[in-house]
Amino acid sequence: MQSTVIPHLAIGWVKPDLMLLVVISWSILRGTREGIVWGLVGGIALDLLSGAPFGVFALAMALVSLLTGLGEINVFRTNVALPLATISLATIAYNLVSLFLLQASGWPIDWGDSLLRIILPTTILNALLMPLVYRSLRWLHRRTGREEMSW
Amino acid sequence: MSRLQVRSIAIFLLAILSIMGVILDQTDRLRPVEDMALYLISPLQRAISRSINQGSSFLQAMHELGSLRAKNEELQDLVDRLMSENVRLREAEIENVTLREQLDFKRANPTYDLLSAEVIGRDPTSLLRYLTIDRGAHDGLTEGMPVVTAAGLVGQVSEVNAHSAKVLLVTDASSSVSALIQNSRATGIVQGEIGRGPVMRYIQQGESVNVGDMVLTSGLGGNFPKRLVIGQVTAVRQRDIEMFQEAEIRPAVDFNRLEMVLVIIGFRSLERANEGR
Repeated sequence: MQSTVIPHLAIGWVKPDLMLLVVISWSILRGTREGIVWGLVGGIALDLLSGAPFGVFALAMALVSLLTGLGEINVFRTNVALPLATISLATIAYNLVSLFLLQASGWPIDWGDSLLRIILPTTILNALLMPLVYRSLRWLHRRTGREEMSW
Repeated sequence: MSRLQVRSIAIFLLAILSIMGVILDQTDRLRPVEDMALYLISPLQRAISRSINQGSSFLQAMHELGSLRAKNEELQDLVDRLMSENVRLREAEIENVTLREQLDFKRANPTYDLLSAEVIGRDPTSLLRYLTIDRGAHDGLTEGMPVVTAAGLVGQVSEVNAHSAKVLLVTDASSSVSALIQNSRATGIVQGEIGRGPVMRYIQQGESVNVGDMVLTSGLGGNFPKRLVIGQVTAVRQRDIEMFQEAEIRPAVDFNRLEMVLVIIGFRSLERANEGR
């Protein structure tokens, strides 16, 4: 879907990162271990479809989901602010790590332009879509995961 | 008087009245009485008649409702089929236009060996600009082959699999194409930039570059054939203190609407040719 449907939702150069949204949401809900696994799986899928050197997005996705998964112990997981804040930071971190790895692979990178024209608009788009994605996955998590205490 | 006698007298009187009624009616003397009676009865008649008619219409409508529903469904099915057919025909028309454009391009460039390909995917990230097409090594593709449409240059094949290939677009930051300005023949390099359109760099100061000038491939470096349209100059960045001028370019190809492309399979870039030695 990321390579066929999502490009049609692009605004200019910028399109939402559906894979990142799913991986980050799952990391928040299920923690570090599952987060890294799905981060690697998602990243490898992106590497296969992308023209970037293989491994760039797998590494970036795994790193970001590892950091996000540490938030699983947070008891305010049902709070809407946590996913929004997490996806915003994760989008910035993921894109910065990706750009760093691309530059290390020989890609010419203009950091200023990339930040202003790609990273920040993508962050806003991802934040707008996060409530929808997170709620859907939380429903799935409740169906398939551990029971949560309710007050 | 007994009941039988009363009944007999009543019958006798009614009979006399009836005979008198017949005689009077013949002489038109009963008209005022008839008018009075009708005047009193007709509103009731009217009301009952209306109710009966409405009831009858209602029953008729209920009876027709079933057949109307079936007719409506039949018509809706027909509408759906016609709409679907219309969409299919419209798609065929669009494909026809695209194929005619490709044929015209082939006729205008008879020396090129062209292979048509469909765009089946785009780069999943916003950082890079690649396409995936449905032709690969089995179709004779190799890395470095130029990819075009009738409108102009799309990019270059960068990765080939058995049945698909990735195309690096001219708008990607890692793309470099030797180019020239059609009017002044000034040369430079067209490079993609993240978040915006390509820019032609390393144009000598003093060379004439104007908004609206067409930018073509120069063929220098041997990576692309000559005279493929890249785009049109939209802005010129020229400062006397710098060694070179730059020109912003609007690509000739609308990459967001790209569905079919042509791969120039007969062309082998100089870089690939040297690697092959």
